[in-house]
Amino acid sequence: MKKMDSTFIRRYGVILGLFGIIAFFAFESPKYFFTFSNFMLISKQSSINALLAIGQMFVILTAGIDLSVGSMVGLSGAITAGTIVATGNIFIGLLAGLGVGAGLGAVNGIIVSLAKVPAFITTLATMSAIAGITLIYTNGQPIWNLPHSFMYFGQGYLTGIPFPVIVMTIVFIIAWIILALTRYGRHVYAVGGNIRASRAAGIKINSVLISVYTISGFLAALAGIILASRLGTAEPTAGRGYELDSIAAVVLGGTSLFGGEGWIVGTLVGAYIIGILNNGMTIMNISPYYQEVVKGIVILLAVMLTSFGKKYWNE
Amino acid sequence: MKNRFPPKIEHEIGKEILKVENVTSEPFFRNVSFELRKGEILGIAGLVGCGSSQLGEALFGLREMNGNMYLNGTKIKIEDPSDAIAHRIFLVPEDRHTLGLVLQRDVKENHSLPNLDFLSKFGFIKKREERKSVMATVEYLNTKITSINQRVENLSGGNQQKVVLGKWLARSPKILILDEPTRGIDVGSKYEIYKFIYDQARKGVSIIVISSEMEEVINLSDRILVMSEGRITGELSPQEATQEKILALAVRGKES
Repeated sequence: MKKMDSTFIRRYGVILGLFGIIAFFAFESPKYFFTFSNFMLISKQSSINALLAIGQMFVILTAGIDLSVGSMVGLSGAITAGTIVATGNIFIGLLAGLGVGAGLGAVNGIIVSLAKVPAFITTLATMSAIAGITLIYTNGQPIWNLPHSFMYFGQGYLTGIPFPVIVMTIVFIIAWIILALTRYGRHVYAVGGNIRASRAAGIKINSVLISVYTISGFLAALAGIILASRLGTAEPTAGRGYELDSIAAVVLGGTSLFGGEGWIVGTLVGAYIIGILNNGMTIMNISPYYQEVVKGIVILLAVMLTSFGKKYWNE
Repeated sequence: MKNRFPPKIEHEIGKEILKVENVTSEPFFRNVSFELRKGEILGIAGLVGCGSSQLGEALFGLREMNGNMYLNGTKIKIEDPSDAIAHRIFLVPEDRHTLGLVLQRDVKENHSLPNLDFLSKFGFIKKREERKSVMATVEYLNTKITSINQRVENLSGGNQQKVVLGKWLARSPKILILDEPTRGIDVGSKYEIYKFIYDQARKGVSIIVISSEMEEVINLSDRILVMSEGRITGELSPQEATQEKILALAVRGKES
């Protein structure tokens, strides 16, 4: 008999889980949950986490982790808003925000690769430092007075689809292409799977590591801009805690925290599962206090099922 | 039982291709000098811990080393595996799990990992050419796999070793450094790997076989160097080499 690969359960387990959750809420609340407008709402609510999770996935594939993405959301939103208020030019504001995100991401990558500080420690430190920089920059006050046209990024629609969902879709497709079809994508997987063998295959390890943190920082900045635009202000504490949801989405999606294995469709599904849980439980009038508990339990169950399934298929 | 070693194939040994002069990497080996000829199979024998493995890694750029290396008379500097790869000097490491393979990826990806420079265009992998390249190697080495999408962790030791060997074949090697090429693999695969070594030598590839299996070194090599305590303690021709003679050289310097 042909031996079953554990990749199978990793890949399709999460999709089964997604259908299960959808079926559950559709049954519980058919009137509100199972509608097109609610699907768009969920997509919109999931888009920020999905952007963060896609960046996070690049990092986790190299056996790293990026805890600084939440703080990065806050800082890049603030920088973008601050620059727009100062210059009156949205384009310069976007450039500044994205530049800061990518730049600080690169700093993470340089510390991890060249100074060889473990990713967990590096990004824990930068998470704290970046949150502080945001408070200093904003003086602890929200930045508002933003031009109305800036709100388009978070609140606008294009052919009936929320703009953040369009951004998320484009980023997802590009990331999928990169990971599945390019030389660079192969290098990302290889470095995470076995860093020493990758070096022995002539891969420039440091550039791969620096690049994945840069991607993560850039996407966090993109998420930060969308968040500021959606709220209409740049809150100094925006994005706090978002890193956890992004990691949860990646892990739910079946990506190995040890690196080298993962499917990007799973990551998107993971982000949607978290979004649907939030949405569905709110529709069912479950107290937000309980929602956090349920979310935690679901994530734990999913990961346990995946590792159980893996063992089962391997035997 | 049939012979453990295939009949020796006549191969032409050409002029000097690699010259290694006084290379040192403390505390593993020091003042090592030797030369390698085109199409030659050079055995480096020694007991475990004699420094020969580290010598192989250093020649490939995985370890810092002082001293000089000349390729076809030109001085070269190898500081990273990518430098060695550019000179078409390749290492098949002793420990394939830590240095040779990405275990959770498949045969195809492992095969192509060092070869994506010519298997891709504008950064995109040329899937068809990649497949062709993998299939050619798999057939040449007679690697037993269910498909090129099989994860290498599910292969036997011998087939894993063939994947490691195969990685370099697509780049037409000039010098192959094989560190314990048959450790922990079955007799059948061993035989095929010996055949592979002869075939490569016949094609003019120069091969360094680092091994602690003396029988292997004696049977394969055109010339044998023996190392002990990080130094070369002697050179033998395969005609004069016996296990006793090699062993005597391999423990020299250990008495004190």
